[in-house]
Amino acid sequence: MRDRLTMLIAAVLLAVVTVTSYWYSREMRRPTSRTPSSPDTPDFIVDSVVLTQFDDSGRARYRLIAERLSYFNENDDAELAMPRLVSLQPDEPQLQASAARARITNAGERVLMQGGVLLQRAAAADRPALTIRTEQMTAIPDLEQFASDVPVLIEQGDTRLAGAAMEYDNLKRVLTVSGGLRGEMAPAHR
Amino acid sequence: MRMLLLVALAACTLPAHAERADQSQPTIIEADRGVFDELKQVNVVSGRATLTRGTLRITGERMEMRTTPDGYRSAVVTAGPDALTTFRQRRDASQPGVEEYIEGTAERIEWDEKTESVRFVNRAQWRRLENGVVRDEVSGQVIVYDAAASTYRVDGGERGSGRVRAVIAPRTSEAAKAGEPSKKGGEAARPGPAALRPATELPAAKK
Repeated sequence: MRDRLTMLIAAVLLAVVTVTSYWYSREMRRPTSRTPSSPDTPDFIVDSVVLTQFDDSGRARYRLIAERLSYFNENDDAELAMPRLVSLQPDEPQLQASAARARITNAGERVLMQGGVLLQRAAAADRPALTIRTEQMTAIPDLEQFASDVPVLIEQGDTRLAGAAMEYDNLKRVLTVSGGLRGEMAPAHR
Repeated sequence: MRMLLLVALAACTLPAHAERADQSQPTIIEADRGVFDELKQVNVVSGRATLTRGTLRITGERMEMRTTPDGYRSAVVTAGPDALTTFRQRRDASQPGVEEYIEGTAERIEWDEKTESVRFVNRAQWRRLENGVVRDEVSGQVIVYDAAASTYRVDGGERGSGRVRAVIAPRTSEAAKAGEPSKKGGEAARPGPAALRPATELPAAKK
């Protein structure tokens, strides 16, 4: 009688385990019923956001200030309203980039800035301040590279440049202007 | 010691100065593209490049520009294949009613804003025009036009391959007023107050 009861309990336990495993394997194979979030609908929104990027040694490299950040889980992109990117490297002239809106893609590697884009590099002992104005610009903040394929206006010291497109490398300190370049330089003071 | 056989070397003084108002004018650069290198402190524009400052105008295929610490600019202008760089600038009028222009062409033009000098290098030609009529005409391997001192110097070139050829108009006011073109074809300078004289030194010819 006692042996029978033991066997019965074992059989019930085995059945429960079998049924549970079967159900679990079925559940695992079923396609997820969760609806994917639309690329146009952010997963979360943050107002008045300040993000700081640090380098490997823990020193702050960049600060990003925006009125609103909308994050999209689907592709890891973020959209910014009134963004301003400020470099925080004390040994280099400060670099600032601002626009009406921006989209950060490739996990922060690339920033597409649009609407009243302004890129400014502060003056240093050996070079005057540099200002670049355009309507659309792609920035790669880690490499300090900026590019625009729409008309640009550039000012440095007493020199003003206009062109149809530009590339600027802040590390190499090389500015390339293409497509109908026109430059105006004030006369030297005699 | 390089073998430099000059056929002729000449210097000549001109009566008027380059347009002084040009000095207060901005320098305008136009080209298809430009590379501005802050570290090397050199700007290179290329593709149908022009440089204008007031009445001064230089054209070429490529311009390499530098700025001195005191803000003066210089440009080395080179031409495309089978083309020449060009230079043109008005001069302050020495006589009323006479509009004077300096024109020049060469394979390379070197312009210096501070010294107001222009070097025409290789296949160099230089002309002075009064109301559109050529009055003085010089050709050689290297011509240095000093707009501030109103002089030009001509280097005939190496191994006798290039000859200096100069046609200088008489400097009498009557001739200028009449606007007669100078008689061409002479190998030597014509007599006049601005006669050619040998220079005491070479223009800094580049090898």
